[in-house]
Amino acid sequence: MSGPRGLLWSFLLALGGIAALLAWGAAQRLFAVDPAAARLLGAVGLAALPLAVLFGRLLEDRFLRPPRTLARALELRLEGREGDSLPAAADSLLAPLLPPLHQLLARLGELEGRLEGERAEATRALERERRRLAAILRDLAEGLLCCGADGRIQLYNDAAREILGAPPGLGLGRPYHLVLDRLALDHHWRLLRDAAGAGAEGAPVSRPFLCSTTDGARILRCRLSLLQGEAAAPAGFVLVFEDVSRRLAGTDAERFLEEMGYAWRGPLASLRAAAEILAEAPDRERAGFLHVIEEETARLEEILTGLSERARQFVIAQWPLSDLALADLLLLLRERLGERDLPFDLVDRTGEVWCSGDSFLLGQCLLTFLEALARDFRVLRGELAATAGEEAVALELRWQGATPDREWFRAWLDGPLFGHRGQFTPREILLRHGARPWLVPGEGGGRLHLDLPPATGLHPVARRPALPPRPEFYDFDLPLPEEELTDLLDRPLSRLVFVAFDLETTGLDPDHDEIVQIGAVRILGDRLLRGEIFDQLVDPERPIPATSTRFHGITDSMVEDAPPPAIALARFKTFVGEATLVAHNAAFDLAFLRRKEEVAGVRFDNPVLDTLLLSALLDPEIGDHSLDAAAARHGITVRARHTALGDAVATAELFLALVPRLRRRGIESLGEALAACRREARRRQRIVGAGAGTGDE
Amino acid sequence: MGKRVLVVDDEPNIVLSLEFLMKKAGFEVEVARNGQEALAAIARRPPDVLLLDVMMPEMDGFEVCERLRADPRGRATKVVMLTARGRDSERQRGLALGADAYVTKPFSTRDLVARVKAMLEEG
Repeated sequence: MSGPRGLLWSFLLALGGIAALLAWGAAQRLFAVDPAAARLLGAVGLAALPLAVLFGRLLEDRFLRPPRTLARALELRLEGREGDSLPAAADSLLAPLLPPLHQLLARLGELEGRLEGERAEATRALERERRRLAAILRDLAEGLLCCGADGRIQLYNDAAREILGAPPGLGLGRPYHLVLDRLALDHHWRLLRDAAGAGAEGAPVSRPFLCSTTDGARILRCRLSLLQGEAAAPAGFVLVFEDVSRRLAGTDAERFLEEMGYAWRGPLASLRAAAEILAEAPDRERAGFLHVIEEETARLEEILTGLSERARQFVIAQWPLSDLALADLLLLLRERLGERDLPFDLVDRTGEVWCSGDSFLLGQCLLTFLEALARDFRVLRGELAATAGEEAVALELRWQGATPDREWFRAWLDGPLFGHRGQFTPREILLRHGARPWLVPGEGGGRLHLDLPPATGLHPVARRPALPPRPEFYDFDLPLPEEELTDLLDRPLSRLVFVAFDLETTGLDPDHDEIVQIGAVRILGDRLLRGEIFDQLVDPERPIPATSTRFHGITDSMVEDAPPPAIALARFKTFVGEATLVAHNAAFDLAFLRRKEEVAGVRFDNPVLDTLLLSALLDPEIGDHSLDAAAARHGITVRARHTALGDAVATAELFLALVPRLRRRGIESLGEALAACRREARRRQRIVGAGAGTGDE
Repeated sequence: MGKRVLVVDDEPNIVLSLEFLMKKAGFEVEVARNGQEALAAIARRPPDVLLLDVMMPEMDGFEVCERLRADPRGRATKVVMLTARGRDSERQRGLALGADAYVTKPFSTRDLVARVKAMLEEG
C-alpha cells in the first residue's frame, strides 16, 4: 500500500486509534465521577475506529478511485487497446477534466491516423524498392557481400550464402571474417582505402584477388570495391565473388595445354635433324624433296612457338593479377616481417619496376622463404632486386651466408604457405604467375630468381561510375550495432541483434534428458530475418522415448546421422555469436544448453530475454502465458508448432509484438528489459504455489 | 687426339642424329640416356663438350649441369643445353647455372655443329 491511498488510510486509522485511546483514557478517569457519561464516552471511543474506516471508504470512492479508473482507461488507450471512451464520472471532482481530455484524445487519434497513413505509404515505397533490389540480387550468379566500415555485413545475396557453403557465421550485422579469410581481404581493402585516401587521379577503385573461406574449404575469386559514403572516407566495401575451387583443381587440364606447347618440339627436332642429314646425300631429286620437308618443318616450328605462348597466356589468364609496384611488395614484406618479430634486414633494389601479380600471395610466398632462410641458416640480411625485361620482370632475392641445397628449395616450393589455409603452395602460386622459380647458388650465398609477368600499364579495374553515391535501390540503413563503445545494456532494444531459439528434448528434466533439435532465427532490431535460420537435429546419444516423439515427431532413425550435442552446440554458438538470446520459458532451454557447455567447449553467457515473463509482465490480469496463448493474443499464427524452428519463429514474432508495448511502459533498453524479466520471475516465484506457472511445454 | 662429345638425351631418335652429326664432324662420341648415366660417364672421364637435354625424367639437365660445375674436374667442359622450352627465362637459368650455350629445339644441325666447333676453338 503506497501513494495517496496508503497515506489516507494511515492517517485515518491513526486518527481513529488516537481518538479511541483518548476516549478510553478519559472514560476511565470519568468513571469515578459519572459512570453513565463514562460508558457513553467509552462507546464513542469503541466506535472511533469503525467510523474512521467508514469515512475512509467514502473518501476513497469519492476522490481516489475516479482518478485511478481514468488513469487505467488512458493507459489502455495509449497502448492502443481501447477506444476513446472514458469512464463517465459526472458527479466526480474530475468531471471538468473530461471534455478537454476527450478533445485531446480525438486530436491524438487524428494525428495517429495521419502518421499511420504516411508510415504505411513510406513502408510500401520501401517494400517496392526492397523487392526490386531483391530481384536484382537474386538473379546475380556471383556472390555479393556489402560491409560497413566496421567490417560488419550489411547485405548479401542467396548466391553468396550458397557459394560460402551456408556457414553458421554468415548473417547481417556480423563481421565478415567469420566467413572469409581475414588476412587476404583486409590486405586488399587497406590497399584500396590507401589509394582512395591518397586521392590519386585514376586510382583503382576495385581490386581482383583470391581469397579462401574461413574454414579453408573453398577458394573464391573476388573483386573488392569501395562503397562510397556521404563522408570522404569510404562507407564500406562491396565484394563480388565466385567459387573457383573446382576450376583451380582442374590444373591437370591446364598443364596439358601448356605441355602441348612444347611436347612436339622434341620429335620435331629429331625429324628436322634427320631430314637435314638426308638432305646432304648427293642425289639431286631426293635433296629437293627433302628441302621441302625441311621448309615445312620450319613452318611447323613457327606455329608451335605461337601455340606454346598462347598456352602460357591461358594459364596466367586464369589467375586474377593486377599491376603492382615491386617497391610496394617490399614494403609489405617489411611490415609482415615486423609483425612476425623477424629482424630480417631487407635492402631495397627494386627501383621503379612494376610487374603484374597478386601482391598478397606473392608477399606470402616471399615471407615464407625469408622465414625459412632465417630459421634454417640464420640469414637475416638480404636484398630484393628487380629488373624489367621485355618478356618478364626478373625479381631476385639475394643473400650471403649460406647456400641452401635443392632439397631445401623443394621443401619450400611444396611446403605450406604462411598464414594461408591449405590450398596453395609457393610452387602453385608462382606457376600461376608464370614464374618458374629457381635457386642460383653463389659464393657463400645464393639468390632466388622469379620471372613475373610485366605490368599491363592499364589498370584492369572498373573506373568509378558516374552514379549518385547511394543508388536508389539500396537500403543500407540497417540498425547496425556500430556504436561499439555504447554499453550493451544502455542500447535500445530496436538497435540490438537477437537470436530467438527453441529446443526439442527427450523429456522435461534437464539433468537426465537430452536435446534432439535446435531451431533458431535471427532478429536485427525490429526485423525478423527469416533467411537467417538455424535448424539442426541433434543425436541425443540415447533412445528417444515414445512419449516425447509423440510430442515433437522426432524418432531415433531421424537423428542417426545428426551430429552429437557437442558439435551441434558449438555450431549453434557460432550462429548465436554475441546476440541476445530470446526464448519462451527461457530457463528451461538454458538449463539444457548450460549442461552441455563443457563438452561443446563454448559458453552461452549471452544476455537472455524470456517472452513468457515479458508477456506476464504486460498482461498481469491474464493467467495463460503459454506460447500458443500469448501468440494468439498478438495475432500470430504458429506455423510449425512443436518443431524447434517453428516455435523459435513464433517466439521471435511474439517478441517483436511485445517490444513496442514494453517501450510504452518505459522499458526501452536491454538493461531495463533484463531487469523487468528478473522482477517478473521473482514475482512469479512468490506466487508459484497459486499455480501461475504455465510453461511452454 | 680428337675432342670428345657426350650426348645426353632420353629421346633415341635425336641421339641417333646427334651422334651421326658429331662423328661426321670428327669428334669422338659417347651417349647417355639420362642424368644418372651422364654423371657416371662424366665421373669416368669428363668430356670436352656436353650436349645436354634439359627435360629428362628424374634428374633434369639443369641439375646435371649444376653438379658438373660443382666438380672441379668438370669446369673445363663446354656445356650446350638443348631444350624444348623456348622461354628467355629458361635460357637465363641455364646460363646462370654454368652452361656455355642454350639451344632451343628444334634447331638447325648445321648451326649446332658450327657452334660446337667454334666453342672448342675459343678454348
